[in-house]
Amino acid sequence: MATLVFNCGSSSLSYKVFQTPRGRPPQVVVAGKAHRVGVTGTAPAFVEHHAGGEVRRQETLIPDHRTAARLILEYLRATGVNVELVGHRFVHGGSLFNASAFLDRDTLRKLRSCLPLAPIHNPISLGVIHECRQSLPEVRQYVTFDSAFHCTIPDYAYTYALPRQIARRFGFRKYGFHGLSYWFVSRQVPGILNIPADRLKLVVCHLGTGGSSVAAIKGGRSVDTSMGYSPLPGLVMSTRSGDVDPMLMLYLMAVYGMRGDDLMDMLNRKSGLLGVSGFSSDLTDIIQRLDEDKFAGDNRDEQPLLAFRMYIQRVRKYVGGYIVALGGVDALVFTDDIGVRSWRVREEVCQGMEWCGIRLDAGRNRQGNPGATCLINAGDSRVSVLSIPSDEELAIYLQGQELLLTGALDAAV
Amino acid sequence: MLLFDPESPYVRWWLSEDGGTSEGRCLSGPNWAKRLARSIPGPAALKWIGYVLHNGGEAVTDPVSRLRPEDLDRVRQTIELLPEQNDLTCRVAQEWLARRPQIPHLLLCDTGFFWRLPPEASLYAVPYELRKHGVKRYGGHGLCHQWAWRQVERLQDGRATRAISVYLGDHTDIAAIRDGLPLETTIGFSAVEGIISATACGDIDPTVVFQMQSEGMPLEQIRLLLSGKSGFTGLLGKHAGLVDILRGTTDPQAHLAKEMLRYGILRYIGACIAVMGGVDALVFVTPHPGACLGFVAEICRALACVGVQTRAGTIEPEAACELTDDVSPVKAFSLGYNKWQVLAEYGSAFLPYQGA
Repeated sequence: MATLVFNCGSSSLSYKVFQTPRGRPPQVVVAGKAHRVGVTGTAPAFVEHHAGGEVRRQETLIPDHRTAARLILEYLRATGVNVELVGHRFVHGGSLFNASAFLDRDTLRKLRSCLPLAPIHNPISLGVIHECRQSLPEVRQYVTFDSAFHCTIPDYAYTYALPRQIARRFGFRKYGFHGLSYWFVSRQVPGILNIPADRLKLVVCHLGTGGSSVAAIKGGRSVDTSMGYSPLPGLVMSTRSGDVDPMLMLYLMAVYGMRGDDLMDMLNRKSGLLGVSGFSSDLTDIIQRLDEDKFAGDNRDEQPLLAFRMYIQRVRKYVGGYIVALGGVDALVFTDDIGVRSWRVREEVCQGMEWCGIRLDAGRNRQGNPGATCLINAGDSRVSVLSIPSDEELAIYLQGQELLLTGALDAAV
Repeated sequence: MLLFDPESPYVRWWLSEDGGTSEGRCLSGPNWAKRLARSIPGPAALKWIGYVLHNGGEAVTDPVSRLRPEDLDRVRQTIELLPEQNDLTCRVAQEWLARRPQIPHLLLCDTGFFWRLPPEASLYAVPYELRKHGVKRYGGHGLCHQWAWRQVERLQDGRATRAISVYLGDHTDIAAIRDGLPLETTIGFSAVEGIISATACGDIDPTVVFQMQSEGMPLEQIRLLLSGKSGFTGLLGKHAGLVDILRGTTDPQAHLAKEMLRYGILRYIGACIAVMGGVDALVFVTPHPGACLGFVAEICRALACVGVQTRAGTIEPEAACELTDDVSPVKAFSLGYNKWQVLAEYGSAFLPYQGA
């Protein structure tokens, strides 16, 4: 049975079609990506399809994600791929979704009420869902959530200490994100380390090229994470500031007359690595600049070394904090683009972490293959250190298979 | 000597004379500076007068400094950072500088110790455009943490080089200190950031501020909400301090408040250890040693994973007690904190250098 999985980025739409041959691991039959969706510029938008070792590229107008989904569905129909199940990723399910769910009228109603929680990402995903309902009316669909994995975080870690009526009125609390990635990684580790999942304590660093976060996972369940009500707080990210004092915004508005939405834009799009380095939001660029110019000048606008140090220090603070909160840890895991590609980041984060039993093997860390799971701790390290490539589409697929299984069980009862 | 500490809407004072000490507080309002002066029992022979400044910003960067009338304008620049408290400090200082021009006046600045925080700890990851407006982490309770470090040096004969100082009070905060210098702390630009306190929320998503503002809530109301009506008080729906939530209670919200405090402290201790690459000593400093003892012991037990081995048997609440056994790789101490005595020590130690 072929399952189509959609994964929305803010200006892209990835898809994969999975099949699980009997007794074998899941296989990707077709995959592809729509690029520059809704982007106005000189370069054209296009869709790429990868199937059977061949790449097909289609340049066309893609004004929105719904159009991208239609183009992909048309391609699949034309090439004879028979889709029997569609899986979607929804960034923010608020308190309404604690797990993935099949799409029905009730789910749709709840999805609509979640739109304001992630005003950029959620409406995009809903557009793709609507397109599938229209083009494939007979095919079953399900939705997975980036926030759902964190529904197990205890109240003392998710509560914001605001007056109760305010917290209730606005729904202010920590939700957390990157749940599909954490779910996927936390299911890989027990098998790799041969430790039962229910006894395993993990700290996972999801370090992406856009957003980054850290999660503490105990017995396969999230117990804390660094993002919050929105994806702004926590680590220093490409263009997001991560943690800042909330009073700072009030000060800048009151004393310097700044506007709230300008400040939010600044904290979300002009801060983080870009804001401190002054020239790039890409950690690779910044690391390159460090190597070229170890002693950067006194230019206060452009401080690549400072940006790098702040990035590392923030990751270390969260890793240390979660290890102590967990009362020790079995494994520290790095995942997503920067997590698996940058040996430098892993080396700096793990430096001087002997106090909690972490010792990296410098050679293994530098030679680690970004495309495969790597064990990179030293032989005498009490804590395992792993680099695991995340696969969000596979996670969406696997969550769908679990849904089918529990659905079948429910039917049997 | 005479000491003033603003605690909006009050100013607290403490007077030490040959015959002993006395203290009191005065509510700010019309003519309050003069009323305050009248309410203090005739201090005849004062050696010096000290004023606590809670946030010195970039204008006052020494923990202890001499205050002369011509310095007041510079100190007033800090009012925009911490409007109520710093305004009170400036007004009391102005009044007493005029009343006692012949004796030394000292500014005791709670952010001075953290002026030397390394940039990766003191800066926010925001553009230079915002950083140039004094947007940075100033820390807090610096006079207390610096004192705590000196106690660790004394108790450990200088063997501890990496210490974590935990101030447990209505506003709890933590500092990581290596060789006497601060490396990390929980209070940021304001005392709202960091660990949950009696009336402030501690760490929250800044998007929350934006959401409230876009719903039409005035800035001043949001400011009061986050700093004065949140924390334990917000969770319980009535005014509550540290001692209230540590006292055994059946109120589930009080229990939640205590759990949030415990969790916040543990998480930040872990963060501080990571920043220093290990720790030699932990010191819990509190004005309520008796009420905190059980709570501190609970925290120490949760730190077994980093090498804190707690002493067996019951520990009596004394002025200074060791919580760990003799072989514990990481030492932990609990110290009673008398703010006024410590402030008085700072001033008395500072003045001889000034030739006063």
